Amino acid sequence: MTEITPPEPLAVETAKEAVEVVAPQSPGVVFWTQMKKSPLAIAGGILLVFFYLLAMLAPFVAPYPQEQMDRTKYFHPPQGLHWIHADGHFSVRPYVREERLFDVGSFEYREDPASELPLKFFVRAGPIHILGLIPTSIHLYGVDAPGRVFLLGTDSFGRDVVSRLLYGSQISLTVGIVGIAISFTLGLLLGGIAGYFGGWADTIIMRITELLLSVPSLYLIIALRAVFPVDLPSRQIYLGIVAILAFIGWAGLARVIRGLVLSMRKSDFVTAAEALGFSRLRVIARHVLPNTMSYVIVAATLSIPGYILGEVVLSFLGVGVQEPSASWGNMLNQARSIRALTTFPWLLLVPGTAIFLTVMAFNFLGDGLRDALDPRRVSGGKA
Amino acid sequence: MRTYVLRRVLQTIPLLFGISLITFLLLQLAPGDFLNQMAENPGISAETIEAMRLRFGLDQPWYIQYGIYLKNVILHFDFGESFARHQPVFEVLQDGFNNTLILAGAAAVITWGLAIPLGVLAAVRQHSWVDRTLSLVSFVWLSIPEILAALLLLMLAARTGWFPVGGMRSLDYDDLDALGQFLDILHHLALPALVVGLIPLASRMRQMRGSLLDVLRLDYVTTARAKGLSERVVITKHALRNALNPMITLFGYTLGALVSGSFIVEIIFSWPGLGRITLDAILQQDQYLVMGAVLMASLVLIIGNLIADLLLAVADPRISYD
Amino acid sequence: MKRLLIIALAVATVATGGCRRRTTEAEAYKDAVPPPEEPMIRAVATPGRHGGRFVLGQTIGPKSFNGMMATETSSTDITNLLFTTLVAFDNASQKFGPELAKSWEVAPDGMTWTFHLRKGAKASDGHPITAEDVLFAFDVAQDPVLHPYVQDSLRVGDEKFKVSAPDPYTVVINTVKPNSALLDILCVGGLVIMPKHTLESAFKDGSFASAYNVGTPPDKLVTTGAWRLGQYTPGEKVVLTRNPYYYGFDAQKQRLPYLNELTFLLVPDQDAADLKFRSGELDGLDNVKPENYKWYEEHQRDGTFTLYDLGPANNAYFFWFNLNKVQSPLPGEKLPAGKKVGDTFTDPVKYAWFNDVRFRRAVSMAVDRDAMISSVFFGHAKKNFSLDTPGNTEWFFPDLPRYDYNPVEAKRLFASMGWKDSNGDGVLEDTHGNPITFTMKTNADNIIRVGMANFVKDDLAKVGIKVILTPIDFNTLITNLRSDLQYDSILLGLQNSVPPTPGNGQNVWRSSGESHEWFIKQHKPSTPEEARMDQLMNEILTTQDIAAQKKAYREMQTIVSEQAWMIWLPVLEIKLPVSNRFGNVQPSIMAHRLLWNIERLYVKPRES
Repeated sequence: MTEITPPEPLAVETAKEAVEVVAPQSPGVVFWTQMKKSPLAIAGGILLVFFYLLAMLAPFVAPYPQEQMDRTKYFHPPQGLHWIHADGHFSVRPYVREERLFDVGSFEYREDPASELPLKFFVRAGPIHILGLIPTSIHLYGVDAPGRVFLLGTDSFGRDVVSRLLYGSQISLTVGIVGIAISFTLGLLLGGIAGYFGGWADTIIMRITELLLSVPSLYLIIALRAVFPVDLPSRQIYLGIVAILAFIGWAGLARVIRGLVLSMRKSDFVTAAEALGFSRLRVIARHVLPNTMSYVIVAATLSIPGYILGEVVLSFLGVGVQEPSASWGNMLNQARSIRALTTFPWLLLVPGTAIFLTVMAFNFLGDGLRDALDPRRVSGGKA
Repeated sequence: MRTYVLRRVLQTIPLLFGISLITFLLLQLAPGDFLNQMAENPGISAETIEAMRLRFGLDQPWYIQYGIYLKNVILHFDFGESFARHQPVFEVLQDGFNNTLILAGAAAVITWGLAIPLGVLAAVRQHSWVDRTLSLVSFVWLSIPEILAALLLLMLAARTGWFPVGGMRSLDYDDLDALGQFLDILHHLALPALVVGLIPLASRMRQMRGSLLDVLRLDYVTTARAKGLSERVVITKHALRNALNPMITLFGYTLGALVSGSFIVEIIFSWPGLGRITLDAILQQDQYLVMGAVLMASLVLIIGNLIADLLLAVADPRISYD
Repeated sequence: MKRLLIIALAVATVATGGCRRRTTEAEAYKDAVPPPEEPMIRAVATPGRHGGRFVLGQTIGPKSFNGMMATETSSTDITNLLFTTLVAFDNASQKFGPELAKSWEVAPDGMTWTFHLRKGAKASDGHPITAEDVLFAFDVAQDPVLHPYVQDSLRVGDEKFKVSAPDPYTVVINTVKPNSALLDILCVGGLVIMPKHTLESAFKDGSFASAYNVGTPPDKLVTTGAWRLGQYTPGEKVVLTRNPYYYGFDAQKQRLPYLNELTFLLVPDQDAADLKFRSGELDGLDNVKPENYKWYEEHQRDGTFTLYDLGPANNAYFFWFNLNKVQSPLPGEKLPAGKKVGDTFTDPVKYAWFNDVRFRRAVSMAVDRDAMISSVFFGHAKKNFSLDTPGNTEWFFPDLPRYDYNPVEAKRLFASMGWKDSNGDGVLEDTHGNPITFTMKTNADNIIRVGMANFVKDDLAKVGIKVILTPIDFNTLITNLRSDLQYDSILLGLQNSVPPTPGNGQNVWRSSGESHEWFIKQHKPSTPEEARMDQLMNEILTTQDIAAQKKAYREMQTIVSEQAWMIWLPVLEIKLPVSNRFGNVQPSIMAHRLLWNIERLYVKPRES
């Protein structure tokens, strides 16, 4: 299961290379010259910044609350933006048309050609808190009530897909960040300790990682999921999911870090630091771990997709974020039916595309970072 | 070498013990037990359930249950019985295991069959459009959620009729001759194997590319080139052989992941493998069946790693194990 | 990529050319076994002919072929076909009829039932089926260690039914007390007759529970019903073939079943089954998601299949509030930690709301069922206000009191309880200032239930009640519902058993019942209304007079409706497609929708 185990095969590869690598000579310069060579990595990075901004500002960007139903608009298809008025004149302000249910059984909607709902920006709607702090009732866009705007359609309860996608991104995009924060802290700490101190600490930690790595991750996830009390508010379920994923993720990293530290412990600068009488912990924290950073950054970037896809798999197994809260995983899985695929494709394609783009952006960025942070590849590239 | 293998084999014993203990504890921590779901059936009374609890030994505290389990495993090599099926655990797992191996094997053929030639191509044409396109395409595929890919292919099969809609064999499988049976399974295998096989393709391809590039920088290749050998000969006769060594090791490591790698796809494509059996067993808390499945999958993983380490020793004469 | 394409293409061409459907074509069947002395003649709409195969999808594979020990429907759907019962229940007429017993009578005391067995009936290996086998079935069913689930229906209190066999073809059952519901447990879903000659040794050495498991070779699995096991490939399919000795015949003296083979193809979910039906691999579906009805309605014009409209399902969705209280512990039981007798399991503040009939009625009136029907059910559901649905021709009462959508009245009722929104946050507060909020649990894997719960939450918000929705894992839900009783409200469904009689509903309606959901297993009725219901149930079980039974049942259902213990939600309308190649297709709304008369299905001759 490639996308479950956070230390991806890609990461393992980096590990192998990074082990043989000594710190780059002029990191900043080399890094930027290299990054410029991979436009895909830069594009990925920009896309990610954009996505995370949207997630942070979700309540403001989303026109409606994620749980708000519209009982006259189940399975409303995405509205088209119009620029030309009915009388043929160009409209500076795009507008959408009111669409009415034409056939109840098939959820076929027809546009009302007479209606025009101009898309307005910075409109007043329901009260929200931006970043959980700033109270406002201004939303990025909307149309005049009682009209509704559904740029990406609605789901089976008449809930706006844009809003659910945005609120869902708050979960799906942070799963990876929080997950690697946990697993990397554990992995760095325990791997560092094992590699630096050796002895019984090394033995115990390595036996534990062996144990964790010997059980296929998906089995672990499912077993852990059974233990995990599902009878919790959404936010805590979400934290639980991250904890499960992170708990599984740290072992592989710890082993690699141990290897790195082990090779570094012998190096001159550590010996020198020790000779100067610095404490061991300080040596680990200040001198040894920073030298593993280029590896860690790349590995972290490449592990995040594992968490995002992991959330999808957990939803597939029925243990992800639960209704009525949205996450990309549960949106995708709710649309996992023949009817949705054939008649309401936006329900599957919207979250599917969001996941796809995010994962791809992380992969490109990680790949670019690896090339940029790996000096040997630089020379290799020129040879 | 022999001592090394022996030591590694002995090391797996405490490992398996630890795995079984963890799994058992997790199962115990989960709310309810196997008999719980029966309680929902109106036709089954509390007395029936109590009687069954007694019969299955579920009324005992967990350490006693685990003790009995261990005793049976060690003394009689008896891994218990599935509660739901009243069958020995390994009898239940056997067919599923074989079917999973078939799928995983086919997927591995796709992955490696594509990764090696494409990786070589990318390395030889480094920085060319071929290299870039290959890397782009494989990354794109890597980014599609497995569930989405499986679902879309299943729909394709349903729409076009080119492939069966899931399953492993046609209904008339038994009436076919040997070749027909083989082709029938192959026909059913194509789509799920494609989904499982293409996911790791991007990384394998990159690894092959990187490995070959490393070798191409070495002195002896330069020497070979200097001797005026054609690039084709240099690569096929000299470089490739050495570049494949790390790939062989990697193959060993991925062997272990095979058993659990196709879990989701198996479920979506109704492939009768371990995935479905295990998922059902976990959902039903059929505890000895879960234990058996986890132990089996872990054992395969451990053996895979062992094989990888041994392959490494065989491939690289500098490494020796004593 | 080129290589891949070629492989794919090669496989595709070979396979399309190579597939042949052999057994689907009707083939002459030579009935080598002479008919029994007293054959059972089944009425069939059209006399069929032998041969062919019917393929049905099943989402979960069988766990056991032991009809006595199997507990879940994935196994019992198959064992019901493998093993016979004393009497038959006809899904179409909803009446009992002869099966292994060709006739029976009950003595005026209402306790002594005499069954006359069919002479010449044989098991699938040719061994005669006699009263010995029936007595063996009772022995197994009443065994204290095995404790098959049917055991609890075969006794009164601690006293077992007394069974004797005066001769090989007569069985007398004494039910200790008058019991009008005896036939309910002697037909399908009840006591199965398994062959004594193959199973007696297993019963004696204590291995009966694992006898006839899914690993048993088909030829060792002797059956008594119309079918026997042909093949079982785990995770793939179960093939049943005809029992050549079966005693059922049509009026033309052709032995049943008509079909050579009945195959259950294992599929992961309903969507996969759907795709397989559309691609022609399956011949019928006994369950279709309502969202897909439309496709079938449109495509049945092609003439390859018919979508049968069976009306509202024989099950009901509802939610209820937790009214469980701590009772004095029975011998061997302990009080829940930190609780004393008389404590509530929910927050006592909430209990006070839930226990008020006005609250329950008002909640019911706040729920907009029509909105659910058009969204969750895609328009294919009917409002219904009892556990019994119109498909139950004997026990359904359409005119019971109901509390349908009326938000104005709901608000008025809350106001009459002294509840108002004093702080203006949109949520009502009770007279002590507690905001009215509760959690609603349902199982997360059921889209329809989660969908309805979403609507309930939205509807109740409109009348000032805050519902916190917690879809959870089914196992946890059942633990909450049956053991720890930790919940405010639960939304679930209940399936009516077959036959759908009051006797089979005792577990729900009796205050002591396991599925008396709002307050399970009461030691003595907690309200006068529940005491009355228990009394009515006793009346139903002690009289043979159908009219009196119906009168009592109606009164019981009226109480349930008026008390609004269970808040009823819409019932799905069942439509299912079956291939037009088959004759005598008569799907029923009762359980075993397609299987109940499967032995009478036949492959129609090709029209040329």
